[in-house]
Amino acid sequence: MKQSLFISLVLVLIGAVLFTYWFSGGNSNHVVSNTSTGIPVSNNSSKPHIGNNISNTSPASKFSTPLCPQSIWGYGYVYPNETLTLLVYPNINYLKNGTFIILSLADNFTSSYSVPEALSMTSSSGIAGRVPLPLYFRFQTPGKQFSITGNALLLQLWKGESIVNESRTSVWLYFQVAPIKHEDVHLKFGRYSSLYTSFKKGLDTFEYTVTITNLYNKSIILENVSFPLATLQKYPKPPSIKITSFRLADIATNKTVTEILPNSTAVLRVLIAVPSSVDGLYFKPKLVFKIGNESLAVPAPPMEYVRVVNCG
Amino acid sequence: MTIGEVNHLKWKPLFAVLLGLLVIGVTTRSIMAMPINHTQPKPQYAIYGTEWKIDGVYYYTTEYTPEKVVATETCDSSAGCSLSETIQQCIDVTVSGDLEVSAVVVKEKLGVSVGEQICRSITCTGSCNYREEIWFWANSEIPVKKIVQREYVITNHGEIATSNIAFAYIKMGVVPHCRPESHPQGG
Repeated sequence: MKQSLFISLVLVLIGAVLFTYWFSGGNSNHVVSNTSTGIPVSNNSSKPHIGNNISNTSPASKFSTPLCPQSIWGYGYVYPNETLTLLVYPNINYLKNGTFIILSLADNFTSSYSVPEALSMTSSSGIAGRVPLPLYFRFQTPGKQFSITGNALLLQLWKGESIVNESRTSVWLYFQVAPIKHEDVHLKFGRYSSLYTSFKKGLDTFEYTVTITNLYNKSIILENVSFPLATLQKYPKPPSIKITSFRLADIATNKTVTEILPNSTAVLRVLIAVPSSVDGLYFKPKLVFKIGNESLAVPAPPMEYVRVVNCG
Repeated sequence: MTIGEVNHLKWKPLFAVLLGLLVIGVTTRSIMAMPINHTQPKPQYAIYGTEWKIDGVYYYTTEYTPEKVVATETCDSSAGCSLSETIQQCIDVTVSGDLEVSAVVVKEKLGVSVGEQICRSITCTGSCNYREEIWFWANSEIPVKKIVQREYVITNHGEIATSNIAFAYIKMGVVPHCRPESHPQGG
């Protein structure tokens, strides 16, 4: 009995050693750091990648998905009745099969376009082989929160009286309607970055910028830039979309400033890190200002992020 | 063979051999799992060259062309008129700033060619009374995009992003606007 036990034990141990060997050898995915740049690079591809492979990535073959992005995460802090826009990018070849397009969000909001009208927007797209189509929506009730989740963004392609194709995008969108009106806020938002189309794979970063003019008769301090998607969306757990930094900068020198003086303008710069799994992001943060002794939460202008490489 | 037959074998030497194998295996793994010593040679990179790529494109700003009268029409009907004019606005795709990637890459990623002419039309309709003129005013909205380019070192271990970044600005679309305005004839 003892011998059997010993041998069994030994065999189990050998098995464990062999398993460890096999497991670690088959999944090596090291991150190496380039000494000259200090930038980590994944070397999970043994073949060197040279060039853009332009010859085998023609727009027609590359952009095979009907609708881009395929999923959109997002949060918006909005004014009551503020008109919001969500841009989606259908494939040009996909649209050519129909005559009319209906875009809808959660069956509540609808925007429609004739196909020739949509195709005329091709040149301003910024994404080869796709057209930007805006979907407009708004929320009325002050202080309320709305969520739109699931396969709720639908593009219907019509030809005559019938639907010839349908395509859906998954969304996890949360909107909080501010309990204040636009005219109650004495801040003027000027030029802002409304859209970033990314051609990068993996972890990505983009910058949200907006100029803010203080129309109050006292200085204001920016306390926080809030994008609480992770606390609002529980399941599925949202990807780790993070505000990595934010600062107010002088509009002329770009030096960091701590406050905006009355009738002065500063630039808000926010860096957002986006993990590789995110195709689309709607970013409309809540800005919390300290004005005198009071805090005021203000809806900021929106920005959209679209990762083009995931649209293939 | 069953477990019961093991009694007939000399299991002790077998056990010793197996235990030896186990020790060798564990030791090898332990050595391999040790942190890399700084004196060890660093991974060798074969550098094939560098290449600029487009990281992304920001919608940067919008330029507006000055508004001007592009057409006039007169109403010759005593019952009044509804008059239309189709207005076409064009721009040539232009790039300013530092364009490091080739025009081929711009075409592949953004879908436009530098120098290509882009035109869009809009139909403007207005009403006016007998012997009044309609002036059709038009201007264009030109979106400007900021192309973020980065230099990458191409190695046998893949691409390494460098901190060399260049920005170029591209005008690549036009949105025409128009408005009708009625005037007394000759006014």
